[in-house]
Amino acid sequence: MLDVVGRSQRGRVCDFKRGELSVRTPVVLRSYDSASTDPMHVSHSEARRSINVMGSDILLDTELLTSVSSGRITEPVCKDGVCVLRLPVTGEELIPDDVEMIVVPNAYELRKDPRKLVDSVIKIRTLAGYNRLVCMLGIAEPSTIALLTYMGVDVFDDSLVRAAGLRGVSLIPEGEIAVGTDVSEENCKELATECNKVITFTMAERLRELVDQRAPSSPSSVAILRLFDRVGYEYQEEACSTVGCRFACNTTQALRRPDIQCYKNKITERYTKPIHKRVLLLLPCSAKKPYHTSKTHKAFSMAIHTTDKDSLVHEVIVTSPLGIVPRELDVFYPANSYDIPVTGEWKPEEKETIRAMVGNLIAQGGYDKVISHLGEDTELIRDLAEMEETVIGDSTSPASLQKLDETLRAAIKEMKLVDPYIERRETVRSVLAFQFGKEAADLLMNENAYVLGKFPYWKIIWENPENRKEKIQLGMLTPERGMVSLTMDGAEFLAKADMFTVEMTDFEMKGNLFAIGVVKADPRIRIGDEAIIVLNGKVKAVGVAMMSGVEMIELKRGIAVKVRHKSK
Amino acid sequence: MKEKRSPSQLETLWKEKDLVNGKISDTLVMIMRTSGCCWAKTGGCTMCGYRQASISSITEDDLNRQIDQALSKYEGEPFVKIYTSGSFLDEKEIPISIRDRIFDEFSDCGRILVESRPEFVTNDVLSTLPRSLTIALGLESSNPDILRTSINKGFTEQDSKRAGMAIKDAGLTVRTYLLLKPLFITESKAIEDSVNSARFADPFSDEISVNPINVQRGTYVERMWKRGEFRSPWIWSLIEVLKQLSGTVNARLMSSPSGGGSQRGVHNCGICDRAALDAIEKFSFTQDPKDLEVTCECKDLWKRYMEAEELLGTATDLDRGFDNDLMIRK
Repeated sequence: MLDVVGRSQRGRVCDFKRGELSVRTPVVLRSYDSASTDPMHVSHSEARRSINVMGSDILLDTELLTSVSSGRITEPVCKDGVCVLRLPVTGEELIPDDVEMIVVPNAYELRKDPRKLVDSVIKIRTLAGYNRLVCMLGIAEPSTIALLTYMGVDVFDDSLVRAAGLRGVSLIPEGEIAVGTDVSEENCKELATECNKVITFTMAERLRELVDQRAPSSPSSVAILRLFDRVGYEYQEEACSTVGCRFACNTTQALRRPDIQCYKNKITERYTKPIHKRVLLLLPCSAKKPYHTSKTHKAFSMAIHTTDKDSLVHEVIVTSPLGIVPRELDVFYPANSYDIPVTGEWKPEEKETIRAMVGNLIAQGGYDKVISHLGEDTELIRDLAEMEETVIGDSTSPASLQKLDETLRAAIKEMKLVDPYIERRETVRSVLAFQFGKEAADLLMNENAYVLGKFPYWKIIWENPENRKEKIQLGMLTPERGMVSLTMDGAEFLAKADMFTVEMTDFEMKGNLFAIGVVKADPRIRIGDEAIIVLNGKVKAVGVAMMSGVEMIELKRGIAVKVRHKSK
Repeated sequence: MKEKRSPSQLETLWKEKDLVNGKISDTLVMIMRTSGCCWAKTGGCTMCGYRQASISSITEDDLNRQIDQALSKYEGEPFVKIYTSGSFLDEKEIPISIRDRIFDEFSDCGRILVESRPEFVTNDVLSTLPRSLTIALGLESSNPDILRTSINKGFTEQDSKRAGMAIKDAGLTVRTYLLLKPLFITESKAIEDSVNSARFADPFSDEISVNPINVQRGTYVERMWKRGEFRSPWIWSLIEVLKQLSGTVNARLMSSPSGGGSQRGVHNCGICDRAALDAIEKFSFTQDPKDLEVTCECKDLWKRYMEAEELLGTATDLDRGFDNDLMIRK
C-alpha cells in the first residue's frame, strides 16, 4: 500500500506498507551477505543477488547480465508484487496490476550516460505510474540521490558507494576523493545523510533547490539536469504545482525550472492583455512579493493612480526568469514566490526571455504608447518599440515619480477613458484566461458578469438577466491563495463545459475527496488548481486539487481534492 | 592506405612451437584466404572479426597458389596448422580437391591441425581424413544461453559434443576451444563457465585451449567494449581457470592468448602481464600448476573488482566506470 506524503514536482516522499511493516522513501537499501531484519534490503549470498521486500525474496539477476546498450531485451520477471525490469527498457513492457514496485537491477550502467539515464527514468516512471515505487539499483551516490529522486526514483541501494569504497574512492555530495583505503562504510553513511536531506527538502516542496546545488558537483550531473529540463519538460510539468512557497533561482539551470517554463508557456499561450489597456507601462521587479506590497511598487502606485487615467494603463513588471508579470497576475505563483540574485548583470538567456516576452506582448497589439520605468534596464528592450523613459536617477526618486505621473497624463490626454466597470471585467478576464484558459474565462466572465472589490480582492459577480436583483458570486481572487477560487455557482459554469472536473464514485462524501473515490479526472488538473467534483453530471463540491488529475485516478490513498464548498 | 589483398596469397604465415606426441616441436602456421566462414555471412559470432580475412572472389587456382606459397616456406616441420578463418571442412571454403592436395603435400607431417564448425564433421568426411589430423572445435562454452545470446554461435554445445565424439571414434584427435569471458557475464561467472565447459569438453577432447576474448575490430564485442560495457578478462582469471582444471581433466590444457597484455586482450595491471603470460605459456607445455604461481599487488584489485561486480550486478567495465580524472587526489 502506497501513501504519498510529500511532493516536490516529480520528487516525492512515500510511506510503503505491507501488513505491519512500513518504509519511508526515498530510501537507501542496504546490501547484506547474511540475514537482515531490515524490512527492505538487498542480499548477496552464494553469488546470487536478491531484493527482499518485507519478507518476499526476489531474484535480481538473470543468467546473463545483458547491458543497457546491448539491444538484448530481457522479459520483466514479476513475483510477489515486485517486477524486475532489466535495462534496456522499451517502455512498452506490460506491468501486471498487482505490481507495487518496479526494480531496475542494472541501473549502474546508466551512470556515465546522461541521455540514457534521463530517457530510462522517464520511461520507467511512466510505465510505473504514480501508484508504484520505482527502485533503481547501483546508481545512487551522495552527489546524485537528490537529482534521481527529483527525476522520480523512490528506492535506491548502497551498492555503488560500496563498490567505490572498495576501490578506495570516497563519495561525498560535492565530489569524489581518492583515499586509497576501503571507505565503503563511510560512503554508506554519507549516502544515508544525503537521503535524509532529500526527504527534508522534498517535504518542504523545495527539492529542486537542493538539486540545483548538487548538480554542479560533476559535469554529468549538470548534463542530466539540463537534459531532464529539456526533454523531460512535459513529464515534469504534469507533477508541478500551480501554487507554492518561496524559492530561489540561484543557478543558470534554475532559470529553466519546469514551473517557470510552465508560467512562461501560459503567458504565451493563454494570456491576452486586457483589451481596453492602451498604455503599456514597464516596471522593474521588487524583491518583496507580491510586487504590489513592496515599497517601490507602492511608490509607483502613487504616481500611476493619481487620476482615473489608470484604467488605460497596463502595468507590466519586467523580470527574470519570468520575463513579464502583468500587474493583475502578481499574486499568482511563481510570480509571488521566486527569488533571484540581482546585481544588474543579466545572462544572455535572461535577456532573451525578457526580449521575447515583452516583444510578444507588444505584438499582441492594442498599445498606443509604451513607457519604460525600468531605468538602465530599458537597454534590454529599447529597440522593440518606440518608448518614453521616465526614470531619472533612482526609479523611486521624486523626479522619476513626477516624470512618470506627467508622462502618463500626457499619454492618455487624447484617449477616451474607460468605464471602471469594463476595466475590471476585462482585466479579470485576462486573469481567468491565465488560470483556466480562454474558453473558461469567457464562460465565467459572460455578458452578465462583472467585478466588485479592490485589487487584489476581486469578486466575480453574476447577475441573473431575468431578475436583476439576483446576484451570485462566482469566485474571488485572493493573494493568500494566489489564484481565483470558485464558488459552487462558479464551478457550475465550468462543469457544464467539463473543465477541471473530477468524477467521484457514488457515496456520501464527508469532508474531503480521497483518491479512492475518484473515477475520472480532467488530466489538465495540476496540484493547487481548482477542482470541481461531480457525480452523475451534478456538481457536488469544489475545492483545491492536492494531486494532478492523472495522479488522483491512479493513487488509492490520500486526499485528492481538499473541499471548500459542498452542495447541501 | 591498406595494401590491396591478393586472393592468391596467404593472409599470413609464421612458425612457432607446439606439442606433437608430447614433444615440443617446430610448427608451421598458415592462415589461408578463403571465401570465408559460412556463419559469418549470416551475422556471425559476436567476437569474431575474421570475416576481414575473407575474400568473396577466391578461385581454386588462388587456393593452389596459396599452398604453393606455404610449401616454399615449409622446412619439414613435424606440425602444420592450417587456419581458414572459417571451416576447413566446408567444401564451399576449401573444395575437396584442395583439401586432398593439402593432405597429400603434408603427408609426411606428424601432425596437421584444422578448424571446423561441427556441422561439417560427418562420418563420411571423417573416413576420408588422415589419422594425423587434429580437428579444432570452437565449443566456446557449454552454456546454451551464453552460446545463443552472448556469442550468437549458431550451434549448441550438443552439436560440438556429437562432432567431438565422432572425431574421436574415427581415430582422429580433437582440440577444443573455450572462450574465456564472453559478453554479459562477470569475471567470476566467466571463470566458472570456462571450468564447467572444460569439464563438459573433456570426454571428447585431447586438448582444451582456453582462449580469453580479444576485442577485434568491427565486432559487436567491440561496440560493447567502446561503450564501456565490456572488459576483457584479467590474466588472473585465466590462471584461475587453469589452476582449477589442472589435474582434474584428462585433456591437455593450454592457452596462447592473442592480444594478451593489451586493453583489448586479456590483461592485468600492466606491470605483471608479461610474467603472467609467460607462466601460462610454460604451463601449456609442462601442465605443471607450479608454473602458474605468479604474484603481483594487482591480484587484490582483481578480487575487489569481482566483489564490486557482484554488488552491482553488472558485467560492464568497472575499471573505466570508476575512472575519474576530476577526482580529488590527496
